[in-house]
Amino acid sequence: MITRRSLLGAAGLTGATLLAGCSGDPEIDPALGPMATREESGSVTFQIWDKAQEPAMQQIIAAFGEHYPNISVSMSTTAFGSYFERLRIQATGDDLPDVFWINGPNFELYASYGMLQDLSELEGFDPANYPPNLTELYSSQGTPYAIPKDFDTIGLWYNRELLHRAGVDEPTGSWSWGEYRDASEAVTRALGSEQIWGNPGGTANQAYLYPLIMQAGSFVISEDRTTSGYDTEGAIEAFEFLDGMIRDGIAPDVRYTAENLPNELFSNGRAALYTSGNWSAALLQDSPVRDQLGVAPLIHGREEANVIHGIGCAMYARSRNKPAASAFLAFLGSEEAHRIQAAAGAANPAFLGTNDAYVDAIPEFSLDLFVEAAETARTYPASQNTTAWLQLEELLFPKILGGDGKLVESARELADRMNGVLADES
Amino acid sequence: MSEQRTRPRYGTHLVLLLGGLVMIFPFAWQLVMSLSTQAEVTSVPPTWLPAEPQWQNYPAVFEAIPFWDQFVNSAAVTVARVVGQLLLCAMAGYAFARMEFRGKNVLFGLVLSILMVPYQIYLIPQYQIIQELGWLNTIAGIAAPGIFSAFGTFLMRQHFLGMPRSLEEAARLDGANPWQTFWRIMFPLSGPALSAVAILTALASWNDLMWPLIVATYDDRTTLAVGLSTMQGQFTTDYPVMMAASFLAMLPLMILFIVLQRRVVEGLAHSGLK
Amino acid sequence: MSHDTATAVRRRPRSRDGLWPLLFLAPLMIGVVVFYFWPILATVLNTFATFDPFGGRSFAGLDNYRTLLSDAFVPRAVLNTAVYTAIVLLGIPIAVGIASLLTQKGLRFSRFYQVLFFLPAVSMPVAVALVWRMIFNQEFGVVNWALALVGIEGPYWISAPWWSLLAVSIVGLWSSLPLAVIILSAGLQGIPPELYEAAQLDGAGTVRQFRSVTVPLLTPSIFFLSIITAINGFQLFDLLFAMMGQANPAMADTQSLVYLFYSEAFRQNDQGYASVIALLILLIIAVLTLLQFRMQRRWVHYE
Repeated sequence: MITRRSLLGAAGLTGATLLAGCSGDPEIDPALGPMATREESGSVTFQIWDKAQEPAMQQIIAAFGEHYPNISVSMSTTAFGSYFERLRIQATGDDLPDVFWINGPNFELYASYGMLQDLSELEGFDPANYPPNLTELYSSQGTPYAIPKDFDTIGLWYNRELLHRAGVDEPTGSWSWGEYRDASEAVTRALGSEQIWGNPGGTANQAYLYPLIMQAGSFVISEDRTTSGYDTEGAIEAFEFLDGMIRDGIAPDVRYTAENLPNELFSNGRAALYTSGNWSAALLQDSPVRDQLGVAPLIHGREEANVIHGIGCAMYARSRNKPAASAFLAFLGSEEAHRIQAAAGAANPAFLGTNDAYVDAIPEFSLDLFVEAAETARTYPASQNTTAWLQLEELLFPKILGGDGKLVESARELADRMNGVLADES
Repeated sequence: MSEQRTRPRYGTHLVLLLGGLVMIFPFAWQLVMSLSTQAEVTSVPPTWLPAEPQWQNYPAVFEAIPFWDQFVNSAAVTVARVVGQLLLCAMAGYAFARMEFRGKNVLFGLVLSILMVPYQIYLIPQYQIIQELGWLNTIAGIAAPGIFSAFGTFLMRQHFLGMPRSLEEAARLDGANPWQTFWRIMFPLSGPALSAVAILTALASWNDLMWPLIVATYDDRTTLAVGLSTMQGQFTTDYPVMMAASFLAMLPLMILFIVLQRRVVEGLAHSGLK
Repeated sequence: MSHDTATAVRRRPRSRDGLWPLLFLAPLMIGVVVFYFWPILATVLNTFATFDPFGGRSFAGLDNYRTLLSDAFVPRAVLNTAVYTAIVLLGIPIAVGIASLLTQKGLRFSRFYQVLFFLPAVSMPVAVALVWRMIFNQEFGVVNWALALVGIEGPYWISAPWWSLLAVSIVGLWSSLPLAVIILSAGLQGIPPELYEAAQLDGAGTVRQFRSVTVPLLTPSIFFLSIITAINGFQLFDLLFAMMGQANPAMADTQSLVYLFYSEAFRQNDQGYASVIALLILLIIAVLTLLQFRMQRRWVHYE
């Protein structure tokens, strides 16, 4: 049946305000309210984006069922590429799932528009159980709106075999930029004829450009979130470092990496060094060259800098099932749930002290260095409308490193456009 | 022309064969890659035939996505859209072609204007309607907007314009009302035009990605095209399995197309007439 | 219903069918109004508003239109979309050639050739874009391998400006060719053989016959095809999106209009500005279609 409201709602993104008043149920209480008891029945919808983590999440849901036998959880998975598109459409239609994954770039948007439940009162949730730089990521103006689920930091993956063939020693500690460049050069010069690169280049932000910019003493976004750092000296230095390797033929250029993705090159044994997060462990486990792979701490510049990011679990502020959702969300944040996902090797758990299970789950690689890196890693750069400038990065990083002699100009253009986005936020 | 029939037309055959091979090359290449190893897929020069066919790439697809569920969903959505469009577009097309009423041309123009708008602008409003109806994650929700087709209406109108009026005159003299005339006489005589609409709808429906992705999230309740895109997000480095999945997803329509070739061509041919 | 006499007289022939048109049209029109007209109307209204990401809006006057005029991405996107459409339109003359070969009387294996030429019609864009990405790969792709055979070093088809647009256009042409061939084949089969015989008696050779009989009689089909091809061309998105992937240095120079719309609506979260772009797309297509209808009188022959 088509109601008047749906007809009006059809006006699109639109309708929503026209009718903000009458759409949805105004009686939903912004307060969290009491959590369901063990006997209470209820149902919760749960939305995630990673198919690879589905089995682990099913195990968690099963474990939750032992505590709350009468609450059912229905989980759905949307591919990451369209997850946030869909989430925003759901939010516009007042139809967000009760509990869902969120990430750093999108968190502030949802928190600041009142889409996320304030979790200060959530029973059994103590922010002190998680790394502080993650609770900071998932707090807005001091209030927690999501529970850290897991975290990633960045390390230097390497291919032992390729390094040996080029006469380069494996990295034992953190290499400097210079050492990284020299090792890359040695491999490319020795094995380039076999289409093998020292490093696979690329324009990854979190795993490559962000840490490098920070290591050069600069920032991606200023602390007050009003200014882009892409036209600062440090950022230009980082861009020029990468540009230099491309110019000298040490690393593939951006056209090449758009057609041959860096993770493909590395996992197929066609690149010797690869800066990436611990999320790569799950993929590299299945790589045809996995026996040749190892991992070392991330490279460093003038400063040491790593970036930490992780998924958060949030509750919809207008959820119709808050008691049951509270029980489930609290369980998702519990030590028990984090141990389950760790033991499954699905993700590096955020609950302090549960990482050993994850490190042990993938014994091929020494993943403990990712855990250590978390202590000093910097918070993932984000603002209210992060996705808007992420798209600018996606469009302009490749232009900055495009080798057309306009590196500084393009970096300024990115900074200007990003500043424009940031100005619109306030 | 008669003397041409006697001598073989080598030039024509050469052009058609070469052109035809270019046209199906992507499918052939997809098939080859689906049986290759990852290394063979990216080898220089290209590996024309895998050293050892990697058949296990096909079972891997069934482990990655609930293929049969999604196949059934795709088929159900396609059938629903085809049946719905045939009926609605034929009725509307008939009215636009044969009936007189105020504002007919303006209304027809408005309906056609839908075609000029990129589908992305409909996504959010349509989602809200489907949600309001409680049809999220259902076959009905995936199928609904696609049932109302401007293009189908256009094709049916063109078809009815081209039919002789004498049949209807005869029916009217027999005392049939417009519905009886339409349903008993005109509709049954519209085979080729209807199959044109059916084919174009089936193609669009089977291959539609964005809409089912937005309205149906549960893996086992969505369509094959969506399943395929979920896989692309997951197996970024495993091209052979991706190729196997793509091939399997296209196979049902390909088979249908080859089996029904003559009817398909005849039907589609009618979509361009007049 | 009561009319004054004048209008009743004027309307009589038009209202002959009474309520029947309503009955025949209502099922379609309900859906069309709800699912299509209303969103279009909303889009037009939205061009005068600014939005928060979740739909809250406020009146913005002509701000979004001003943004459109100052956005450097827009003229390039118009150009890219036009170039794509032009290249895909080239498929029509190619299809005329193929169709006339395919419909030669007594041609052997014609059904086999038909399958070859028609099969791309069933291709699934998500699936096929990935194959084409591999085919066009600069390093291991088949296209550059073939070019190397004749001594040409192939470009970066997916990631260099203009080349990427060309690659996407080639795939667009490839996927739109089957329908064109089918429709034109049907048009050709509808040409009465007597016309050719008459032309032969007049001493016309194969080329003359093609130019003075085949092409003129095909013009209605060609016209129809050019309308739908142009409309589809200006809606270029899926193919571009799937073929170019992310982190592509050519993307900024290859964006289509719909791609711009998509990034504003779903990435920049600026629904108001996105609506202006949508309106621009609608206007361009409408003007183009109108122009084509205007010009058809000069070249389309209806017998």
